[in-house]
Amino acid sequence: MISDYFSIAFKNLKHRGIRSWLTLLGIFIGVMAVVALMSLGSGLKLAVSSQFGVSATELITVQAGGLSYGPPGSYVANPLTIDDLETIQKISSVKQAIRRNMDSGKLEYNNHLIFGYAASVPSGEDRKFLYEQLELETIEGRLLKDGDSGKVVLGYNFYANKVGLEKPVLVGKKVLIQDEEFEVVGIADKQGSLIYDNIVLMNEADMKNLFNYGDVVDIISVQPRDKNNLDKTKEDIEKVLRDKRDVEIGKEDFQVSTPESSLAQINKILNGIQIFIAIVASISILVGAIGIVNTMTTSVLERRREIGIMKAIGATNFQIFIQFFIEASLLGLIGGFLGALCGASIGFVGTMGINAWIGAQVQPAISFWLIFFSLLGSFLLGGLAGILPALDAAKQNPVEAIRE
Amino acid sequence: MKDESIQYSLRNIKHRKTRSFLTVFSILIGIATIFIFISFGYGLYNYIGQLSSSSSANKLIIQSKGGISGLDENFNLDDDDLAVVNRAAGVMDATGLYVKSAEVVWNNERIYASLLAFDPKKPLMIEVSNIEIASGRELSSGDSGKVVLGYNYQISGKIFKKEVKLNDNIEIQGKKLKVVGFYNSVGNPADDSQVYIINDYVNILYPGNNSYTWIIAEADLKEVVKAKENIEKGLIKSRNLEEGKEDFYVQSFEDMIESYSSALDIVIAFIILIALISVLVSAINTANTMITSVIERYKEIGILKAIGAKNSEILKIFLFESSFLGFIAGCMGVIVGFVGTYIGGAILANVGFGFLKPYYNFWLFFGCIAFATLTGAISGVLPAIRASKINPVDALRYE
Amino acid sequence: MVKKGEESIVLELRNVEKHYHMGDNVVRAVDGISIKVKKGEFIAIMGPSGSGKSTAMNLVGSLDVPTQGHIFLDGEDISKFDESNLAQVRGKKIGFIFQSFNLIPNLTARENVMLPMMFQGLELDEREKVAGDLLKLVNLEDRMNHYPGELSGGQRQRVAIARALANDPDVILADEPTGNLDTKTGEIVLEFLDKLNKQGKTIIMVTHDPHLAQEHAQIVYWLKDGKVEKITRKKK
Repeated sequence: MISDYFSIAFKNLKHRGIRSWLTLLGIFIGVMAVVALMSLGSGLKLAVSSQFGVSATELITVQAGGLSYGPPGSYVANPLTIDDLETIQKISSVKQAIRRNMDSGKLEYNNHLIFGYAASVPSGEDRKFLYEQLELETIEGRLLKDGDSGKVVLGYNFYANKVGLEKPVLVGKKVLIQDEEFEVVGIADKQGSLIYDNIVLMNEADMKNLFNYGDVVDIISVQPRDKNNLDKTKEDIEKVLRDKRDVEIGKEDFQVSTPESSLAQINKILNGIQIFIAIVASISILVGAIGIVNTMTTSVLERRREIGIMKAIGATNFQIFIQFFIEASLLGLIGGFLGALCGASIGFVGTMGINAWIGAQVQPAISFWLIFFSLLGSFLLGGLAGILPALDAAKQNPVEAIRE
Repeated sequence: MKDESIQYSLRNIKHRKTRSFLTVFSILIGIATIFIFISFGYGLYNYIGQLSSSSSANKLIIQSKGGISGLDENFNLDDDDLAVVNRAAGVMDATGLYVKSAEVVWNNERIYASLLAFDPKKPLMIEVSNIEIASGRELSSGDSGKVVLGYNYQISGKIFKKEVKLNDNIEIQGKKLKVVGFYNSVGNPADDSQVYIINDYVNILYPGNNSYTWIIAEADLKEVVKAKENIEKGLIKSRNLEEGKEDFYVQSFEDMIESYSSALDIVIAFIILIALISVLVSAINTANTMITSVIERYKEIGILKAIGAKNSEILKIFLFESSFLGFIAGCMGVIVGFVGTYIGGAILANVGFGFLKPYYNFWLFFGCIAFATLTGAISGVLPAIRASKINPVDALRYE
Repeated sequence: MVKKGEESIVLELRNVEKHYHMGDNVVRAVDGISIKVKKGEFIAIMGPSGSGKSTAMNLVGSLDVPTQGHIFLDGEDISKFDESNLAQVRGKKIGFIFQSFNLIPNLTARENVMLPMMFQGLELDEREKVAGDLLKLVNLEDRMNHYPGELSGGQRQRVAIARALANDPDVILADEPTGNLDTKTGEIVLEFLDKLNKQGKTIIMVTHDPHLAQEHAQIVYWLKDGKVEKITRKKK
């Protein structure tokens, strides 16, 4: 039964040709804009979270609190120390905890000077642990091993000549870091992360000598015993550190984060931006809906006689109402469908672009729910826009309508 | 025919009230959106522009490349460097600034805030910063152990539950400092929660080797570029670096502000682009309305032509109608936009983002109205042309 | 209440009045009309323009409700029905044929005939079948899928007749059915109406042509100034 109304509505829309098209175009553009922006936003979030994914999904990270401009540990009021590390290692739900230090430095090669970050690699069991967690492998040369001194492993982009040195750095070459000479023994494989593809890795001892940070620890990476219960380990660490550093709950001068929580924080910001932009774009959908009201109002006016005839041959007010209501909904649906399709395509292509730019390796996805809701939404919006005109149609007096 | 045709157009618009209203409403929304964003955009430009007052035209900033010096233990700008800068030809005065992270405790609550240490003996600091004291006084030399706080500290609940008052003792990095003044609100939460001490006190709060975050130099207004070069040369030599391999850079204030402006440009342009989509859609609505209008008046147009209207007359009538709709929409849109920015600005100021002020000028109003009118006109062009080409014989026969 | 012996009265207007307000004036378009139509009769309502016959037709066809008086359709008093119920009545019991055909321009001939059945809730296949049969009946089988714009006046009117028959109504109401047709085509249409009447359908025709009325109708109501002036019967 309903399908009859749909087919009649379809005919009517087709008959009105360009005006139906223009109305459709309005909704089409609006929905396309919103879907494209939301998809791009999601793509961006994916790309960003991929950066996190690279640094392992099972590790808990502990850093000192306070403002930090730059890599963790730089510029904090109360830094973490080896004591904190040892305390954490003693926790029962902690399987392993290692020390990591990161500092910014200057690197000179091929008569060019660039600035970037160096990260320490611990020794022994801790080294094995780190390599496993990061799934670190080299595409050239080898990884650092215990006893290496004056040697570094560089991130992929050094090899791919994307760090601004104008010449790729190969294994065996020498670079100057903080004015000291280091030999490159390996190049890491592409991680797809902005940080790790540009990093300089050196053994702890070298790093300490070069940067002189004493017992300060920038990051403590913790592997919990039960990887399905990260939160419990997190709580344990927090409790222990609170005791040791003598701080109260809610006033910690340190931060313990699981991969989800740091990601969640960033996502909150990205979400906010995404929503803001979507709202601005939605204004155009609203305007498109106004177009539907306009078109339907005109339609009713033009078809007064027709409405009278239909009433004469037995259509009830309700049936007339439904007819026009469905026409309006159909306008919304078709426009929304085309718009969602194009918008999703734009989002898809855009996400690939973002990937290429960041160097991430994310699979762009088309969100089924986004499309479903835009379709549903445009259908409903069309209907909503059509309510008043449809009511108007239903109210037509058949006598006057057919008057010769 | 001119006056009557205007009457004719106006009456047509009035006659088809609902449809005219809907069309106007479409354009109105689009214009209001654009008005709001341009207004706030202008406001931001102004804010940035204010940073670049005339008194900063002759100032240069020296800071380290890579990392953020003073925050990062690996780069040093110290008194030796300060001396070198001072000695550079064209430099009239120079001073160093520290920016650090501070643990601030008050009434059993602890937060981390940004701390700025400067040399109160140097007037050029005050010139550059543009903030004024709201209550109490500025720091002066010898004010070891004293602190000036940003605006928000004196409001209970904004930073700490209990407000801080003049002459209170507040704990910073474990030491108690006396509050001697509060600055005026800058308009953003970060600056309004900053704490200020004098340079000499830095080593007490932060034992160890402290490096300047920035060195600010005042140059002879006519010699700014030369002074910049001289500073660079001097520092390269004193830090034993090679040319092209500096670990610092020297910028004029203007340069710095430029880079903020261009970043802002992109953001605002992007947002306006999105708002333009609404305008596009409303243009489509207007075209739709005009086409309908032409179809409805098919016979009427035939009659007009039969009584002597030229094609150009018909064209003008329809063009005028759509432009007029656009014009009305523009005026109303601008009013709605104005109200929107006013309310928005008030809300933002309330939540501490006072620097996001809307800005108005004649061109904003005029431009939006003109743009709306133009949109109306353009959307109406094709329908108007169609109308003008109608064959009167066919039209008159039409039932 | 239907009196005994009058069960076969399919439509009755009893002292019906219809007033219009034009500013301060009250126009009595229909000023007290009583009409009785028995099942299977072919009656005509005659009158010059201004006699109120159009208004009378609207009332008879339940397109309008009387200001005063009662209208009984199949024994039911429809004078105070609301629009919804009237529509149902119209759809099921009355088939309209208009002077200017009044087909829906966007639908094919067949779809036009199917439409009244759709409003009554019939299923698609049944509607298609009945429409096909009816169009065959009026000899338009080969034009089923044409739009009204592609048909001649006579063909359009025949489609209208088919449509009027779609829900197998008790009464066919024809308002100046030949008004827009040439003489020959008009005769064909009227022949159809005669045929339908012989098959038992009640026909009410409104016309301004006395010749037509007396030629085909068994009873003619002559209207003047909103009242029934006289009633004539055809001599067998």
